[in-house]
Amino acid sequence: MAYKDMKVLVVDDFATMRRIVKNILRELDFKEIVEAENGAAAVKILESQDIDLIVSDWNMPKMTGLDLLKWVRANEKTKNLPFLMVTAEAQKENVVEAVKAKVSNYIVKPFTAAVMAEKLAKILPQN
Amino acid sequence: MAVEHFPSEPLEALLSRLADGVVAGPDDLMGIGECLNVIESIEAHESTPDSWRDDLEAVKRLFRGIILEESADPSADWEKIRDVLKKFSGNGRGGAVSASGVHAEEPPPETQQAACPLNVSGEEADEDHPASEEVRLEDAELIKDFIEEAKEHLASIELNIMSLEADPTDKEAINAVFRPFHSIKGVAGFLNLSSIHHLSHEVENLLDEARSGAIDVTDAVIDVVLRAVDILKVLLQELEAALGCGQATLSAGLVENFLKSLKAFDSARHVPAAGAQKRPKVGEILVQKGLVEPEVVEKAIHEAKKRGKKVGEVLVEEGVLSPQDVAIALREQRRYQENTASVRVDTAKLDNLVDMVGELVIAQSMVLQNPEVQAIRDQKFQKDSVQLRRITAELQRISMSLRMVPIKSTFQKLIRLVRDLSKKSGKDVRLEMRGEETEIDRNMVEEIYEPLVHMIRNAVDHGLELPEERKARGKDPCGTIYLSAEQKGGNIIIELRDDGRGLDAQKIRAKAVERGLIGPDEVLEERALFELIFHPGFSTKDEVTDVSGRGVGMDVVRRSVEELRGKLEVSSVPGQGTRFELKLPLTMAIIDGMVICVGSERYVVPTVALRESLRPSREAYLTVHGSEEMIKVRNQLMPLIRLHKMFGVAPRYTDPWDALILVVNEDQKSYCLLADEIIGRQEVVIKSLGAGLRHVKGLSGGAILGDGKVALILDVKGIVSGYEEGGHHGYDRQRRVA
Repeated sequence: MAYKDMKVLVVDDFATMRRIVKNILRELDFKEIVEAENGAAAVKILESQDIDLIVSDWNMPKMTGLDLLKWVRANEKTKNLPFLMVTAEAQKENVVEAVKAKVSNYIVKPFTAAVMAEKLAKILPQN
Repeated sequence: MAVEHFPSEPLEALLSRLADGVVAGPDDLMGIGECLNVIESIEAHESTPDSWRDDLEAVKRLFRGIILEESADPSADWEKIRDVLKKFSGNGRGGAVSASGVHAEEPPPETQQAACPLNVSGEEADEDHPASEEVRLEDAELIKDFIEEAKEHLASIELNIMSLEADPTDKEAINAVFRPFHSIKGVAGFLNLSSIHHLSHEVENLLDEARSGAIDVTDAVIDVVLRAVDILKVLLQELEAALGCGQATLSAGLVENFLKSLKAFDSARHVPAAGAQKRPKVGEILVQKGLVEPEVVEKAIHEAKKRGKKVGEVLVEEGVLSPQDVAIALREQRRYQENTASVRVDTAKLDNLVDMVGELVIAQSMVLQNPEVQAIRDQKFQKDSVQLRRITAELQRISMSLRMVPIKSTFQKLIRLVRDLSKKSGKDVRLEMRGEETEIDRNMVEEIYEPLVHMIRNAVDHGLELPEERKARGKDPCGTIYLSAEQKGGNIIIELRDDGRGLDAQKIRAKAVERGLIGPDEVLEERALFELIFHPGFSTKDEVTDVSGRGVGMDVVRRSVEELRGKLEVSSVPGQGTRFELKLPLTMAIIDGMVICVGSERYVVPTVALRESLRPSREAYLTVHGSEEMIKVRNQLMPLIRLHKMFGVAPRYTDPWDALILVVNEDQKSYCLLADEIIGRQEVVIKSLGAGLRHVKGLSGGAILGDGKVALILDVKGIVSGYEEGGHHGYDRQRRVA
């Protein structure tokens, strides 16, 4: 599936950050992007819509990115979804935790469109 | 947690899963994750031989390196992992690893991550950092959004830190404070705002340590966080101001200083709590405030020791700091010493608390005075309700005391004033103060400053004589002003006394006649003559001097004191000086009053104004000129003011000899207020009447009585002036012009 036909879910509690991620995704030719401001909101969207890729922040109130990842992997409908975790340099230690919970890949803030493209190439091999 | 995935699988099955080549290569994080889970299960398995452990550990370590992109040569590591895994598969089902060529073609290790701006800025920070940071603002709209959102987050930090202060172990609160810093840092990284990024990064680290329990959330930690919030606000403001220009200059110096103090903080925060409360050195405070570099202080300490001086002195002498900076630091140090465990609270909150406690007291009496409740004869209930009353009374007392502050700060401001006045007037003046520690309602302490200033000006200008004159009279050439405060019962008495020439009764009299305040033949006692200085028409223009100036007379001073529900009285001895006594209620929230009944209405008369109450005889009632009603009390005629007429209620008694009269004093004159009945003396919490009733003459507020009904608080001064103005033709109920 081409990027432009994919529906991406961007999860971050910080609106500016969502916008930055969205801008970068658009640069990579993604057209359909939906947003959620925390894990719980993301779950609602995942249950009601067909999402092809999740880009989620780690640190969020209520339901963290890791909690969301676990939910995604435990849910029949979503268990195979590509899940890209956005994390911070200082919290790379947590990444191992995310890997064990079957994260598709992770990306460290701040990142450029090029890095994002590379990560996506790894987890969306069909493109 | 991964261990729980395969709790009951036999070791062989695990090994075969490991060997089955679920990992496609170093980029296949999901495969690696699966692998790690299996390895952990194997490690946890009871039949796993100990000899495997090292290998398993090594594989985990290698995987970790690959995951975190810390591996120097991921392909080589990947080969190693495959070798080890093969070994295991040999122990299990054997030879199932599909050694496909994919792995050999792994891309070279990524370098993008290593070159990410974050690391670059981190290195920069270690070098000499410029005092300001030039930022090119590429995407103004995005930055604008960021500023808005960051501000909201900073506000949420301030809110959450309050709950953290209440419970430093509250993990959710720490998280709530941590998260905004984290988010701000993230976005700042994208926007190349390295000062903001760096600052939030450091605070985030600190909070992360708090989150993990490595450090306790002490007051010091909270201070650091709040300071960081302040600096972030400044930076955001600078950013916002520069939005239109495409280029912003951020005060990176602020951040640098803060980070330096944060480094110093590192070592300090490990001292036990008791040690943390010890008094910090002035140098430390200055560094913490970001006023000087630690090295400069070091040097100054050295210099100070050599020269036998104080550090602050050296710093000022060398022109590093202004005396003010040092003074502030010293004050802060003193505050540390005096009061390490205090909390700053919004006065509105305190007022609210006092209000609510007042309501509580009222609600309590409503419950306890309920007839049904009073009918309860249970002894335990009686005992318990006494206990309840005792506790609420104590609560009320404590909440009142929260609003009290020492009068010291107000007094201290006057020292400066006296010094200035002395210089200006050419008179030597000494100010002696007593009772500075006396406590007074927070709301009042500022209100009394102006009246005191005015009275002191008067004392220096009119009261004290010039040095030569004093010498000629055999007095100390240096005049003295005594200022003292003390608490007497429910009042604060502030006394202002000078040892000047005193009030000249004859001069006052002459002037009052000249102004038409009194008739030329009117006979007045000395006291009454002195009272004339408070008359609005007394103070005059031709008295303008450098010191007292013009415009504000003693009438204004008295009025402001009365607005505080206080009293101002004067006494004087010729040649020896003048004495003003300011009598203020302890608090403005509560009033000691007499609850009276007029018809079906109840009113509260402040006891300050009340002299006595009595039922007059029929003979004591007189009318003058057929209309003006008077009551004769011990040979003194006093005007009768009918409250029921004033407030338009139907009284139970219209004849004074059936009813009761309350004798009140106002402006040295006595008046009789006619009421039906006295219910009792009571302290009431004053409630404002709201905009609609605020300016109704004769009323100063409302109060809720024990039975839940509202009573109006009478303003005796307003009633009397309403009576005087309304004359004999009824009462002027017009709103007073502010």
